[in-house]
Amino acid sequence: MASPDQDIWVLAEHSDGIVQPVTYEILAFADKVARAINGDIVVLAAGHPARPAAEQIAAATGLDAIGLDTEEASFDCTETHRHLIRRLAGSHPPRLLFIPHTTMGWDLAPGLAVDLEASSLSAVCGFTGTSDLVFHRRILNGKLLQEVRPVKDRPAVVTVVPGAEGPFTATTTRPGSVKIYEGRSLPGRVKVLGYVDPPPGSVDLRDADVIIAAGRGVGDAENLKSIHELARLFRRAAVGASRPLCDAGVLPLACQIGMTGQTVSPKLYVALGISGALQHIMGMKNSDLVIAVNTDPNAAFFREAHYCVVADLHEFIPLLMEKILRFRGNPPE
Amino acid sequence: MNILVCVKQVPDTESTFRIHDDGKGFDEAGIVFRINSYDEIAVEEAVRIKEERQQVAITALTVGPPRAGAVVRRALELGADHGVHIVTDDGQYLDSLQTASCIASFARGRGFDLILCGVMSEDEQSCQTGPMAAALLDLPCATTVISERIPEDEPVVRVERELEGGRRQVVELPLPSVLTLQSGINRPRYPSLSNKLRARKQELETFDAAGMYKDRQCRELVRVSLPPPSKSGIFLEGTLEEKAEALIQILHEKTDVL
Repeated sequence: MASPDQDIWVLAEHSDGIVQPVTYEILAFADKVARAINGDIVVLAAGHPARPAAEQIAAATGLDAIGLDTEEASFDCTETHRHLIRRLAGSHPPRLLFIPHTTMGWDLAPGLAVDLEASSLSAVCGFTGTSDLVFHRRILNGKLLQEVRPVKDRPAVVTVVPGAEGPFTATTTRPGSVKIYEGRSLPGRVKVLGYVDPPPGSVDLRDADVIIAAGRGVGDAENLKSIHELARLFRRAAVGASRPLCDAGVLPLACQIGMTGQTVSPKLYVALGISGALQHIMGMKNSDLVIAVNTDPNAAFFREAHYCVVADLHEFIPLLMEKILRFRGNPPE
Repeated sequence: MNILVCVKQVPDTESTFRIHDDGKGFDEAGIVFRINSYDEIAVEEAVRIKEERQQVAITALTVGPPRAGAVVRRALELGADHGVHIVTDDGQYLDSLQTASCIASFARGRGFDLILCGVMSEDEQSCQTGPMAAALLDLPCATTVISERIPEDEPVVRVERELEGGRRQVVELPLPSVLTLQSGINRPRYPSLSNKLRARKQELETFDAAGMYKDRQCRELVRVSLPPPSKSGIFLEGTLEEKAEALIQILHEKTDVL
């Protein structure tokens, strides 16, 4: 493979003609890297239709955008996107291709890296260096930091954790150029049959001011009962959960907060017994005030919290409820 | 039908980790290792397919150091028929492509109709090995699979993939294909006593990993460290009583929810 130059490609996330906000977060990350290596960014939007997304991005950012259209909705899948990006890369792949670390990125990035004989780095949240880039990622549920480097003289496919950087700020009001490529002779092995929308939730977590979220550390049904009681002490409150709890059937799927569940931003987020998996954090990182309670003083979620309490939930929740009621009965001046 | 299930041995993520002297991993003393829970789900799914159809054989495969053989045995206990261990050296770090190359090198030419993996490993959380193995074998792949169905009369698998926000994409793949399974697709059973006894006696087929990932590399591990202490997080100190009091004060000062 030819030695790649300083081009940076960023793959946008869009659906039904709407560019997802995560695209602008990944672009902000890519922009930081572009400044460090003196590179140029081109944004790719793959899918059907590709034009509306490419135009929105070019207008919002001033960056050049390329739409890769899959022609037919039934071919609008990862296999086709991979094929189109591989063809666009041809013999001149970019130095870096950034892809959101979302379910789209999980499906696309690894195979594309193999196709391009590229380096492959996953779930990065930061970087250091200028010419020699080292990317940072968290492993073991956030307990350790891992630094990885692309293989020398190879292009690199890198998935970036949503929210690694704040949204992109354009430095120009002039829209970037837009080019559209129509996909032809597509592989067509994987067929899209349709989409299923999530079941409507019994609680709308998105409207809640206060979310009491339970994780695997909640342990037993008695704790769960007191979590519901705690939530009832607040107006506009809801009970949320991390994925393992929903998978175990302890709480309904509609309660799940995180990447494949709901994204929330309440005034108060109380995390009880939540270990701190990246997928969960991605769903609540914009909460105003985050309180975490856990028995494990090393729980990774404590890094996401403003205030941390190391305590046994069994003892702490009833105590906290008692204090809240006493406070309300006798409010300070 | 011939099913390959890929399983990985991972440390219990609830452990307290200390950085190893080489700065590239953690000290294994006192760490408990177990099967990656997403991979256990993949084994369970294979067993369910076997229960529904005639003539299904399940091979469970791991790539890892000598201690990792335990997770293949766990897969046998859960109902896999054959166990394969591609053995790496103790302390050897394999990146996703190197692991995927070992899987592909084993699977190539062995006529598997379906390759099942967990959506990610709980330690590295890269979500890469399964789809990379698929690409190396030039097989179609679907990730984050939350339900699958293989019709009796067609060589295809129809799956629902979980997308952002709980939305699902329904796709059809021809067999052979690779699927990576998301948690929630099933709840793994406890091993039966008869399977446990069988698994204890059964030989694992072993291979030396070294020759299977030669000239493959997708990243270089620079170092591993403890993350810097949290910038914003304040730990409330004192007795439980004092912690609760302090929390009430914080809620009173910083929010209007009380």
